[in-house]
Amino acid sequence: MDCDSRGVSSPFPALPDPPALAARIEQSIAEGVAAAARAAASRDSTSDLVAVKLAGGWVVAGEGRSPLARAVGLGFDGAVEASMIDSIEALFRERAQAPRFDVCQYATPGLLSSLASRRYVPQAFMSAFARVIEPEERISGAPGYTPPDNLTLRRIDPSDDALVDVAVDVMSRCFHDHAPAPDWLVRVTRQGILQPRAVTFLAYLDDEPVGGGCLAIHEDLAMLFGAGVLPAYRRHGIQGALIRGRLMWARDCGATLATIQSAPGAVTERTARRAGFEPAYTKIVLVGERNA
Amino acid sequence: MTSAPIPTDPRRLAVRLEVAEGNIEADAYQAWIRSHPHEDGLAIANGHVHVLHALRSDPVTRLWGLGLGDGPDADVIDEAIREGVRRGAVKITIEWNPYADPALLGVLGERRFIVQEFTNTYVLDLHGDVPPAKRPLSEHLRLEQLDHADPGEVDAAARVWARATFGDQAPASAIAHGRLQMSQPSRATFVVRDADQIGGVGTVGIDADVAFLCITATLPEYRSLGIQSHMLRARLDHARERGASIATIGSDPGTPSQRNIERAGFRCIYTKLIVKRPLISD
Repeated sequence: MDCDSRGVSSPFPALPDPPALAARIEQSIAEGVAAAARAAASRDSTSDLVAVKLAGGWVVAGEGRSPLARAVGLGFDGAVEASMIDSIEALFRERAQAPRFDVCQYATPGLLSSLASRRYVPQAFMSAFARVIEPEERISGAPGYTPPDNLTLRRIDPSDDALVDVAVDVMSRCFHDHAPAPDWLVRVTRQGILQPRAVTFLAYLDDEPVGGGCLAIHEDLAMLFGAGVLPAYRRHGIQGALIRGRLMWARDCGATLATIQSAPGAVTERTARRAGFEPAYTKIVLVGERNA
Repeated sequence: MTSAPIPTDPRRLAVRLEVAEGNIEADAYQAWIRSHPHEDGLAIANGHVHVLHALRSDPVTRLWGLGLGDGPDADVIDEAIREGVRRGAVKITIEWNPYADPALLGVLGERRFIVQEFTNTYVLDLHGDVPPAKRPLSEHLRLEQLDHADPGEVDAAARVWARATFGDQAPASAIAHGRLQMSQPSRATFVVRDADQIGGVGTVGIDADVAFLCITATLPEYRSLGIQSHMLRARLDHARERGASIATIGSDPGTPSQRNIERAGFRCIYTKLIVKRPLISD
């Protein structure tokens, strides 16, 4: 199978019903984000992170520009009332943050129009991709994208503080080409690695860590996130190897569905498509005014 | 016709589809303006970007393809706003492709565009087989191609589309829009009739080897009869016979239309966000 020539048709099993799939993924992501926020707040008494379940999803507020801070998974269980949006906005504004909502195309249409009437502006597009994992599937790499022979993936023990520090250092630098990574990125990377249910793999060339990636499994859904490769080691198939390694882990844990998110057209999307992921849904990140 | 290979790169595919849709819409607009000069509209093609300025009967300026070249096309947007105000357009709408230059986000925000709705974009490779409709059309229904040169027929079909889409109080601008779309010789419109009553409509336009299916609707009293499935397949057959290699169609997310489209083998390749900026208060 030539993963790179799928075009508009695909040899992979079709994804389940799109609206139901989107609801499931978004609500699982919401659970994960909330769990990460609660875990972070319990580790750090100075953190003002708070996670509140509202309108069928979760709202995480606090810690300034933390990417954890947003309302996600809302609008799949019916209308989101104006009073609920008011409450969500208050959570953010009490922490001097601009309210931020992830809105999926399969959420109730009233949510988008409600936020539009409150003059929310788009901040980013995000594409969600998904693929079915067959129980006995042999997860192979895309032709022409063979990683180096000396590449290994090693799962880290989250209770090993020294190893976690290595992972945080390497993975935060993957998202910031000019070292050192800013404090907020280092903090968010650590929160991702230490969130409940997260499994983290580091990619090594011989004994040198050059990248990493995480996944969390919720029921039979594997959510891949946080993957990156240090700039000097890119374009060697390592990103693809990280996806395959996590898919294999997920398969062996009994996951039957995997998802990954990407900015449209980014490297993550291209690598994910080669690994058999297909577009599942799109969401727009909408931001409101910091002050009412 | 030798067709270009279907791009595997999603951004290249997005560009190709947006250009095709823009060309098809612009052709219809220009043909309409020529035959209805009092409408005072204007269609502009600028590489990958198309701007369709407001008509007197449909005072909305529409843009496609922004940000799919080099940069976010801020100058095109600004000129469209100025011209829209001058022409008395009530609003500008933009179909914002997720593969557009990310800088377009800031450009639209600065110009106070607000989100309106999502629309899914689907594609189908016409080299493959299309699954047949689940059931045949009922005997009292017949599928045929509309005579685009018959104003009475076009008007009847346009009214059906407008009522099916916007309800019994469909605005005159919607009916005008339907007439514009269905009266073009470059388009094919298929209708399903129950005796003399049109129950459903659907059009297809072709640009190079891309078939763009649009203006699709079924009256409420004729739904759940498989009409859309049959009109979809008729349009795909029409497109394939004329050398199209790829078909594209848009749909509101989570609707019966989406399910019909997916049953016919279409795959959703991206979702656009429609944004708007009212102009009337400028």
